[in-house]
Amino acid sequence: MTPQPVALASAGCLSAIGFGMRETSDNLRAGISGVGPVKLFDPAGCRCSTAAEVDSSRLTEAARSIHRPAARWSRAAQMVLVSMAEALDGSPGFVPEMVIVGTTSGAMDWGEDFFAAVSRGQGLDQANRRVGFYPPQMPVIQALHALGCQAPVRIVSNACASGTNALGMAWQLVRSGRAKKVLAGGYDALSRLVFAGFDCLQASTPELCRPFDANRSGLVLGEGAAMFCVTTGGPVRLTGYGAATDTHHLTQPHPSGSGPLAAMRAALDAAGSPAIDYVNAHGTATPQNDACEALAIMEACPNAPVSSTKAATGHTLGAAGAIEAAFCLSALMDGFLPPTLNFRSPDPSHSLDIVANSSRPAAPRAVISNSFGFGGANASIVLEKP
Amino acid sequence: MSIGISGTGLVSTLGRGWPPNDDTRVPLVEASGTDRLPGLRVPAGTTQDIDSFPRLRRSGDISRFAVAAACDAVAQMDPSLLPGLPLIFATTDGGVGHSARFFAPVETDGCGKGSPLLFPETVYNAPASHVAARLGLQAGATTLVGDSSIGLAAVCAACDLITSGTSQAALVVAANEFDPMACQAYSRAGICAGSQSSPLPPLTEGAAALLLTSHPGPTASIEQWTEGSPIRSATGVSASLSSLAASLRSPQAPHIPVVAHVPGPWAASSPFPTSQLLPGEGLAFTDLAQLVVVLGGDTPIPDLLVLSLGFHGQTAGLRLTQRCATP
Repeated sequence: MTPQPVALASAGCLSAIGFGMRETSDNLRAGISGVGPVKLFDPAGCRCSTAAEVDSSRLTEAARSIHRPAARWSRAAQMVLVSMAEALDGSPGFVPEMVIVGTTSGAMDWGEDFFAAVSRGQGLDQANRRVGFYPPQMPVIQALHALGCQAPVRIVSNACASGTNALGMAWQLVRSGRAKKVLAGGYDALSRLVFAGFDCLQASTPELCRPFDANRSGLVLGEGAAMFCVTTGGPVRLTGYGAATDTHHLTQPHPSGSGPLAAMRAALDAAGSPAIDYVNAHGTATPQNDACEALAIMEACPNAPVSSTKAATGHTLGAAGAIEAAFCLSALMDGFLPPTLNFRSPDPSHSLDIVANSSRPAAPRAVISNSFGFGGANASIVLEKP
Repeated sequence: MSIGISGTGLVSTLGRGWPPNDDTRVPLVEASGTDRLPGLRVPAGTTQDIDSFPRLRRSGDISRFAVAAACDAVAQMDPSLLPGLPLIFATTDGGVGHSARFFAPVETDGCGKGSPLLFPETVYNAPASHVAARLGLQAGATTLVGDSSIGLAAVCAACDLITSGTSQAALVVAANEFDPMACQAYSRAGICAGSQSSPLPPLTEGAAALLLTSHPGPTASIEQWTEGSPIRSATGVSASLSSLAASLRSPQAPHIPVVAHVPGPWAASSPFPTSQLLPGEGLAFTDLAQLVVVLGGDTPIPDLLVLSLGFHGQTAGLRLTQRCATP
C-alpha cells in the first residue's frame, strides 16, 4: 500500500469565542475569552458556576439561515449544521464518502428532558418527540440530510479525545486509499448531566481556568463544534495520528504521562518526526492532567512553545480535539501562536515554554495537537504547512 | 483482502458462549421489575469469573458483559500480543443505567447533587476502558456509538484499521445493557415491546466480541464490508438494503443467504425477513451476537451476507465465508 497524502481542505468552527473560522481566528489571536456565568440552566448547588456558552439566539439564527426547520433543532444539532455547512462551503464539490464525528453526549439536554418528563409524568408528548433526536448520531444525521449529503456516519465517543480520534480515523481512511473524501470533526453542547458530573468530581473550578499555572485548580466547561473536509490535497496537511490507551484509572492519567507520550510519539513517528513549532496542549488545568501532559511534552517536544486554549473556549469535551485542530489551522495559516489565558505563576515542576496571556507572532510550519480523556483515551495529530 | 475471524465471545440472555449450555438456559422472558416492562436479562452469575476484577466493582452491567465477551474472544491469542491489540467498542446507550441513577438526584434536587462514584461510568467509553484494563490493551481503544447497526459498523471500522496497515489484528466488542428508562423510550418509538402483550421483541442485553486478524481465521473470514448512508424514511428501506446487498455479493455467489437485523419501524419495508437468531432486541449488541451465533452453528453455510438497518436508518453489512467441516 502506498500511503496517500492527507490534508484539511477546509474547516468550519464555532465556539464561545466565535462563529466561523475568520471570527474565531481573530478572537483567538486577540485573546478573547468566552467564559461567563452559566445561563442555559441553573447551576445552583455546584461549586462551579461558569462556562463558555455559545450564544443561543445567534446559534439558532445561524442554523435557521442554513435550514429553516433547524430553528427547532437541539442546540447540538444546530452546532453541527453550522460548522458542517461552513466546512462544505469551503470545498465546493466536496462529496463525503464517510462522515466521522466525535462527541461525548449528543443532544443530552433532550435526553434529560425525557428523563424529567417520565419521572414527573408531565410533558411526555414533547419529550417523546425529542428523545429520538438525543442519541449522538442524530445531530449529525439531521445536519447531513439538511445539507443534502449522503454518507455513512461514524460517531466516535472516546470522551475528551473524541474529536482528535475522529480526525485520526479520517486520516487512516484517506491515507490507506479506502476513502478519498471524509467529513470529520467533533461537537458537544453543554448539558446539566455533564456539568453536574465534572462538578461533583471537582474537576471543574469555581475560580478562573489557568492551564499549566502553578495555582491551577480545574477546568471550565465549554461547547461548540468544528468540522473539516479531509482529502488528499489542501492548504494544511494532516501528516500524523497516534492513539494510545492508559489503563491506570478510569478518570485519572498515570502520573508518568506514559499514555500521552505514547500518543504523541506515535503521531510524530507517523508524520516522519518533523520539528514541531507549536504544541496545542490538551491543558485542562486540572492539577494531575497538566502535570502528566507537561512530562509528555517535555519528552516529545522539549523546545516547542505550548499553549492551552481551554481558558478561552472552556473544555468542549468531544469537540475539543476538532476545535483545537481548527485553532492549529489558524496558527499555521494566519501566523501566530494562540495564548494560554489567565496564566499567572509558572509551575516549577516543568520548564515548558508557555505562550502566556497574549498570542505570539510566529510562522509555524508543523504543530501537534493533543487530546486526552476519561477511560485513558489519548490521541494526538500532527498538522503541517506544505 | 480477507479478514479472519479468530475468536468469538458472547454474553446473552442464554448465558455465556454459543451454543448455549442447556444447564444454564433461563426462562426467555422475565419482567424488569419497573413498570412491568418486559426485558430479557442476562442471568446472574454469567460473568462471575470476571466480577472480582477491581475496575468492575462500581461498573454497570454493560462493562461486565463487555469484559467477559472480550476475554472469551482472545482466550486463544498469544498474551504477549495483547498490548498492541486495538479495540473497537460499539454501543447504543453505553452505561445508561448509571446515567439514570446519576441524573435522578440532579433532576430532583439540583445540579450539585451528582455522585462522583457514578459519573465516570456514564461516559460512553467506560466499558472500553475496562476491557482495555482487564486485557492489558495499550493501543488505541475506540468507542463507536450508533443505532442498532453499530455492531456491524464497528466490524467495518476494524476491517478498515487492519487493511490500512495500522494493525495486524483488532478486537471488536459490542454491548448494551437493559434499563427501564431506555426501554420506555424505545418502546414508545416502536422498537421494542412496551408490554408483555406487544408483538415486538422485548429489549435485551449482552455483549458479543470478535477477534479479527489479517490472516485467515480458523472458522471464517470477512471478504467484504461496507456501511451505507442513513435512510430518511421507510420508502428508502428496500432500495438501501438491496443496494447494500448488491455491493457485497460476489459473482461467484450471487444468491447467498442473508441474515438481516431490521428493527420494528422498518421491518415491514425490508426486502429481507428479519432474522432473530437470539431472542430480543439488543440494539448495538444484536448484530455481533447474530454473527457469533451463525459462526457457532452446527451446520456452517459457506457464504453469507449479514446486513443491518438500525432504528435511525444507519446501515452496514458484510460478506462472510465460512470453512465447512470436512464430510
